[in-house]
Amino acid sequence: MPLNKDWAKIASHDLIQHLRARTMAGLPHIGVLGTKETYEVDSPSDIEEDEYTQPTDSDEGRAEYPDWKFVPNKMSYQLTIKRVEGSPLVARVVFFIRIKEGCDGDLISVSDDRPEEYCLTPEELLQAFKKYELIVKTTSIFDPPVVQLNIDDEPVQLEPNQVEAKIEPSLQSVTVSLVDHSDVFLYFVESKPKLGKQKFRIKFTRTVRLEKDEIIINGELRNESPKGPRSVIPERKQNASRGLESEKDALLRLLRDDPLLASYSPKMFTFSGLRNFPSGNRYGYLMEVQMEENVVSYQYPYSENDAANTVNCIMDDSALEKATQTYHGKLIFKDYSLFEEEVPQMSPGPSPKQLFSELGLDMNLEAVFEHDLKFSNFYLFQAASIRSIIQAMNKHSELDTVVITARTAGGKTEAFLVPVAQYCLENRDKLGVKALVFYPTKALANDQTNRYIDILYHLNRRLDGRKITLGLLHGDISRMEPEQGSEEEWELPLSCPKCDNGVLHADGNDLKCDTCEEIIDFVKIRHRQLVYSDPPDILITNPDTLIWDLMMRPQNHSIFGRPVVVCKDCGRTYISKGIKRKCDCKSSNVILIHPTIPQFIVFDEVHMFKGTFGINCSFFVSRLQALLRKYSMQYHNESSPKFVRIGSSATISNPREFAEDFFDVKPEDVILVPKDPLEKDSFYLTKDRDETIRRHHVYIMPYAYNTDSTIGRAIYYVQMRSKTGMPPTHLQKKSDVWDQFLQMITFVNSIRASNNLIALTRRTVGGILNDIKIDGHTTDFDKKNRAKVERSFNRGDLHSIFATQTLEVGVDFRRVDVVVINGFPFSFNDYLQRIGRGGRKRDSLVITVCQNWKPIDHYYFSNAKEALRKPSAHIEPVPITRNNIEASKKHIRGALFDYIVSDSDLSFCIDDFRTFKDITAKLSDIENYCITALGKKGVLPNEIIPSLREFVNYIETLSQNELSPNSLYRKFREIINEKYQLTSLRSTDREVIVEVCWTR
Amino acid sequence: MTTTNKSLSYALRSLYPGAFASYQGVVFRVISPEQTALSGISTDNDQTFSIVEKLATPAGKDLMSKAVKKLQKQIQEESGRTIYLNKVRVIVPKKIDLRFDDSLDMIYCSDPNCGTLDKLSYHKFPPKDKMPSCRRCKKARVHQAPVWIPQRLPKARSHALLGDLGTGIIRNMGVRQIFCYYSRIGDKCTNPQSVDGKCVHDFIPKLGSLRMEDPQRPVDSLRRHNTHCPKGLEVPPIKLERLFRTGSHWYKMDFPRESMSVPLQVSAVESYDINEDPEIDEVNEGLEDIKPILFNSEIVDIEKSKFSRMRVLEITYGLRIGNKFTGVSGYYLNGQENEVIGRLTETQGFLLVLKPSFHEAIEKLSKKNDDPDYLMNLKEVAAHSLKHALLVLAPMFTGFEPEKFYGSYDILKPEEGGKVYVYDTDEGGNGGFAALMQDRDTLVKMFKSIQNRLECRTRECKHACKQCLFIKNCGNVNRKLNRKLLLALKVFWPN
Repeated sequence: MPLNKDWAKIASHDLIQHLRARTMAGLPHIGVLGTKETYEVDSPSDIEEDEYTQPTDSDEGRAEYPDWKFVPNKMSYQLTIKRVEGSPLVARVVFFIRIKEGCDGDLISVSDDRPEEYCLTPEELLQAFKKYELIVKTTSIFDPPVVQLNIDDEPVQLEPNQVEAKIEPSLQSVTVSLVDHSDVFLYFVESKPKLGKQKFRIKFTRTVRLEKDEIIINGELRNESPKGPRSVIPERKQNASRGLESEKDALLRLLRDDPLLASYSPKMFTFSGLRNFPSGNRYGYLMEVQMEENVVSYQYPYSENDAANTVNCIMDDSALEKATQTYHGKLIFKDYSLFEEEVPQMSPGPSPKQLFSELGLDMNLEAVFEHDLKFSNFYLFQAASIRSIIQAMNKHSELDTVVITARTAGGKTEAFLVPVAQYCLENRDKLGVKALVFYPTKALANDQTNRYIDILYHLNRRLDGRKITLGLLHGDISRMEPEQGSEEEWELPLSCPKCDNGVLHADGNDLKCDTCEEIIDFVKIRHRQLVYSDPPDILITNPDTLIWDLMMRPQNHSIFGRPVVVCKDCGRTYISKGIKRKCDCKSSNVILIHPTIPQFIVFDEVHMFKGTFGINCSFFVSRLQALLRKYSMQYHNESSPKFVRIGSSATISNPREFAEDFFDVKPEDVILVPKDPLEKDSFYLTKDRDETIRRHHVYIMPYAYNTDSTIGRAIYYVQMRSKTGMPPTHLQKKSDVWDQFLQMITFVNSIRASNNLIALTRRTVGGILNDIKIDGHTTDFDKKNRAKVERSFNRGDLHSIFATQTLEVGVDFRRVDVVVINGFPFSFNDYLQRIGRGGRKRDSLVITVCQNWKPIDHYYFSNAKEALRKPSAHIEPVPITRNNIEASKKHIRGALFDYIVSDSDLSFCIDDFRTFKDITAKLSDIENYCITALGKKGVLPNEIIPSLREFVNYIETLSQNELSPNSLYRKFREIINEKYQLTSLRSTDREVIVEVCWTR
Repeated sequence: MTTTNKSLSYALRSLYPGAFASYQGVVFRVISPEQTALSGISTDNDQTFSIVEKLATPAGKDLMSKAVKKLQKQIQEESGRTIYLNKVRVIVPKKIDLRFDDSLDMIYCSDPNCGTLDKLSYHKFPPKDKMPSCRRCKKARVHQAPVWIPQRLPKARSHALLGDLGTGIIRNMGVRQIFCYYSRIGDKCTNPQSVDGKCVHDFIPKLGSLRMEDPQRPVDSLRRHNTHCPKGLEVPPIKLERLFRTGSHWYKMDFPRESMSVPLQVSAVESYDINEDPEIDEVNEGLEDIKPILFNSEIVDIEKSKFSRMRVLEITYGLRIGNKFTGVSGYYLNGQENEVIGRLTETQGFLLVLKPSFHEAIEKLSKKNDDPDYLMNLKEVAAHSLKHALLVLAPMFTGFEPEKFYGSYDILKPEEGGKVYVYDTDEGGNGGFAALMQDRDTLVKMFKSIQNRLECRTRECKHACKQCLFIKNCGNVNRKLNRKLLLALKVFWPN
């Protein structure tokens, strides 16, 4: 059954109502102002990130008191207006206080197993709360304001001593003090029952100050009520001889001498049992708090300075309207924010036909986009990217690097894949990798493979003869053909490009759809040897895997354009000076292949190549290019090959500097797409919003409960709302039923948080909705499990997954309805990536639960709406500092092995490490190569050459001391890499082995 | 048994001897069966030797003496004990053993309908790489049950060592509690509804269950009961038995987690220059005109404060178990060698040089000028707060994790002033501070935000709450901080 058209909007409003509902047992999650003592005693100084509860010394030993967290007791705002003469300034404050026992769970309709006489009717439950509405109207700043109070929508006369107004030449100030108390309730002091009332003292202060031609309005609502005890519902004891005691007996037993007994008449007597154990509620808090200011102003009434002075609430300007010269309406201040993200529509560019004929591109490729993928037009930025890459491909042009920045879900992959595919088509007769495409994570590489398969499937269908092939190479792809049922025998979550419903499974070396049985024979992902023996046109990989091939495995250098001998039977590859007569598998069916040099070096999602990983990868790129140049000269007689380097990201603020450092190129050789802010503006239609991205945001920062608890509650409610039509509160009628679980991803910042939340939600949500399936996607789960999770989630068999960074980038699940963010990630880039998982061509709900103890969450709690309107102002630069001496030393040592394995003589000696015993004889050659390989930018050569010399000597000594004919690879893996950690790109720090012992 | 690789800086901060670490959702302890000084840590001899060599140089000796002084002081503050050290032996870890700990042996079924309590040691052949399935329902996996975590009483004078690091002072739920509330050893059943007063002979039906009654209070609402009573007797939810408090601490219940232990660290830093350093010079050129705007020239030596290369000696000498702030701590300096784990790195960062007037300003603000210890403490609080102020927002404005930055400070003689260092923690630098210092707009935005935090505009705290300056990985567990002191010193935004 399809979801309701506006389901996300409805769900977001209902969720807020639910979390804010004053009728919730205990306290609502949001919309609460705490009591004065809470504020003073529970100083927030000791609140810890990982605490479920916040104990105070006073709570110790008093287990009947729940450990409530620090709840602020104040909410205040500031706004600055240019007042339109004569227009009144009206402030309105609304909140509820509890005066009686009662919560949702006490309603007749909810309490199935409780006798009706102990339940409440909806009317009785509503009477447990009083609604306060305070209106302060300023007509003139020089006169006292008019103050009006409504309690439960009835006007109430304020006593003169309750209103204190002060009029000064340019300042009007008014303080309204409200006093009230609750009905009598039962509580325990040191295990003794007692009756009492909760006092309420509430103060609202508003000042209107004239400064030059501006008026600054400050409003502050403060709850000064004392902290009250938690109420308890009396319990009727069961006696073996006399049975269940009467209500009267129970009261007399507990409170015989209490003077307030006469005025105590609780409705909800309960009985001892598993379900209705005595519980109570919290008094003294203000609930569902909201403040408003009605203004008519010549200027937008809320500045950055106002935001800095707004405490514990967010401004909502959805009820403010803009006329020709003025703004009129109201600004609302509350502790949550609900809004629909307005993602600007991408400007449409030329149609495939126009673009392809303009650039003279292949007709088949055009047909794929126009007819198969139904592109009516490319986006303007895609067209600009394609033109730029084609310009960079021109051998006579100095330009060789293109960096594309466009928002998530913009179609960046297509933007670089068109020219790459065009090049592959033009060179279809040549064997070899034409484009090396790097992704920062395996999950992302796996997922993006789907998109490549989709485009190449349609393209290959239109081709006669050799197909354009695609390969995938990373740590999860097994080296040789995996045995059935082994750990290595796992499958990627690839969907069928033909039927779109089926999943592709291995069928020999090909892939086969489990639904339509289509055979996909152009994809080489079954094992790595498929890639080396028949290099695909496009190779998707990552630097962590390729660095091993680069340094240690010359027989795999077919992907870099080195001729190798291939066994047609088993797929093994060998470097050879001529034809090797027999393979190790005893087969004589061997051939020599001459693959081409890769033309494209593509790094997708470049913003993830930051920090030490980025630094190491930048050196890796330099080394890779040096090797490709060497092979080009050695085997292809081309002294200065041209590589086209492409970087793409949604979120990078310094693309030119990044490209200069990362690819080690001259800044003038870099083409940026967009080239300047003006072009960037032209890529988006600012007036139109992108209808394909409909994200409804909910921002909350709970104080009364920890964020995990609120997330558990939110997940529970949203799933119940969808599956059963659960209303936000039981006072409302059942909503329409969508009869399905929503597909939900919850992002957390640590594995620990993920595990905690999985356990928590399995216990809570899973306890009620038995069919719901919850799982995790973090590095705590092995690759088989993670792939299974991805597959199950895509199929809809899994409804809710908890993930860390592993899932945040580029992973396109078919359907993600809800994205929950547990606390802001450290980078706004990461946040954009996380929310980008939802709302792709369908509605989605994004629930951001801010953690109140973190500065970053406070910052974005107040600024998120603005940040999402102008994300470019908030994204961080991606720094690459090539002057890192440790990284330079690591890579100059690594480059020695690049030299060895690419050398036409030395590469044949790697099977016997003893042959390197006089390697210092080649020191000057080595130095020349290694210094060039590290690129132009970075640490000066004289600083790292000593390290290289020392390392070469070390290798020589090691070789001289070697007695048995061990291979270089073995020596490297067991000794050299252990000591120098040359293959570790994620950190410049040494790696430490952590061994986990499960048995004690 | 599984092997993973972690970077040294991660290992130093998270996996020190006695620390709790989680793997596949299970919390383990860094410990080994052999009783060694640094239990659970195997030494990387090459690296350790290389550090010894570097520390034998004049610059290295300076660093070591700086670190040892800090170490002595911090141990005294932590434990109340005075120790005399000439030097410590810095060990670089090669392998770290994570083992299951006795105090985390209690388990319960993750299925909320089952929740059976049990002990892992009662399982005869548990799987070696994951938690076993519940013995009663045989469906769901078990999780570690809550543990009691020590909390220092406010009366206790210091965070002193309360027990042997190896045995651990996190307590399990009592073994008695894993059985049904009414069952006793033998076949007795004390449930009043039981007619014959007998329980079953089988072990598993006697096991009680753990259930969370209220998801909003996950720990508080944990109750023990038995929905599986073979006789179908009603066993109401019963509160878990609370551990008794001791003279110095009480126990708080929580689920096992990595953060039950935090490292106690000291770091000694020195900045140095090399002859040709174009990238460092480029950053400093960009900083030239912004420094007088950001820093008060009366306190800060604008000229000497700069982006620089730094040499850092980081030492993890102990741990605090329990709550980060009120837990109890221990350190593992013993024997002749005084072995500690640590590392010596070369990195990049920002050096803030304080003028001698810093001392005068503190003395002016102080009420007890005649007490040199009090004055010294105040200076340390100011420098430490300054370090935290520079570090606290760096992750947010660079997009790097908080572990990627760290800092240190030196209080020099009154005529020399002081130094505050903040740096990238990755060996050689990760570019975090370099990027921040080069991006003028971001730098201004960050310092504005720092000032806002010091003034605490967005959150009102009556008790000079220092939380605005907390950083996640503070080796001094976020003590010695005072934001109001920084405001009084007017270090930032002089105009």
